[in-house]
Amino acid sequence: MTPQHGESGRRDGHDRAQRDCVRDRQARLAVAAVRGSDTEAFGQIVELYQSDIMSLSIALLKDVTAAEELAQDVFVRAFRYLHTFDERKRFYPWLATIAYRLAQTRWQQRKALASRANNMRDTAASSSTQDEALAALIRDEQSQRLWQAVRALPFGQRVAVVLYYQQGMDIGQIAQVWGVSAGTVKTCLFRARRGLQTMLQPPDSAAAREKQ
Amino acid sequence: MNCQEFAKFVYAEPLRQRSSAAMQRLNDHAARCPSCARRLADAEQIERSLAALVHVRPPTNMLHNVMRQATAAKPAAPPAGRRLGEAVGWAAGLVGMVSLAAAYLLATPPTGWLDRLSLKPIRPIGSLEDILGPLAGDAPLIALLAGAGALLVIVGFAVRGRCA
Repeated sequence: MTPQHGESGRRDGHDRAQRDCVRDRQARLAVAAVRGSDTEAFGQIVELYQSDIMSLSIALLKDVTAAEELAQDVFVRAFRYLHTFDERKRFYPWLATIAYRLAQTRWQQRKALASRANNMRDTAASSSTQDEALAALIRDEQSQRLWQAVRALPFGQRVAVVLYYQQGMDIGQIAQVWGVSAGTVKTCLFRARRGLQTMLQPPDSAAAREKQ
Repeated sequence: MNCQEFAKFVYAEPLRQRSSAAMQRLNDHAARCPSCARRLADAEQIERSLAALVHVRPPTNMLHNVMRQATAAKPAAPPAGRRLGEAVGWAAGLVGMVSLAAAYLLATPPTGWLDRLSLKPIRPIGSLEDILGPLAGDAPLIALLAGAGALLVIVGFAVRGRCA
């Protein structure tokens, strides 16, 4: 490990921030067009953010089928309430907030259903089905493994990981989406990194470290 | 920094938020301790993997489905309170403009009060009647219309601004 690693990480972050800026500008132009009655321009917003919202939905709900439905509902709701978007702010955090709130409602509904059904076997069985469904959406085997590890993290940690690492949001923005303090987000990220380290490192290297 | 501190510190902050000084401290210790050097490399590897976490491909029909549902749904109407506020704002602004116009018409010669004022020759003000005398006709009405009109226009703008 050399200091250059840290530098390249920061450089990548800078490049991503620039890309996000360009995307945000495109989204704002589309928002202005939709507000000016060009409904079709909303398609550009969907194209710009559908992968992000799909990934976030999986992090939020774990269930791939439910995530697909959630992602669609997020965009439909965004379209309906586009007049509430504050143009002085960035677009994606607003969209992510819609996803987060919708997912919360779904979680509560599912929890109520699960407690009524009280069938733990079904839940365990559906977990492996979900892995297969996820594998159908991600071709690369290594990425599948990483995604499965992320999905295995507790709720807050996996959402923080996806928003921070994959979608390049900063800690303050995540805290706003989530309605918690920046400290809570930092703690989630800290625990997620440690958890993933344990899940992803080869068993022999873990044993070697334990000995030392 | 000892190994215990290092273990705590290495996960404490994400890579892109780590300061150069923090990186230096970690690297200094890692240079002396092979075990911690491996731990640091592993932590960095996890961060790099996460940063490269691929996006899940959305279903191919998502765009089509969203557009179909969105165009069928139509944008939600603003809440009733907001609509009422906007209506009040417009009404206040309109009444204000009409008041201002009325005040202007009344004050404009040859029918206005300015024409009826006899300011020449200038007389020394001797009593209250001298001051109020010229205003005894339409002047209070004009002043009222102009004042209320201006106030209503300002209020109208403010209300609509808040509801926007």
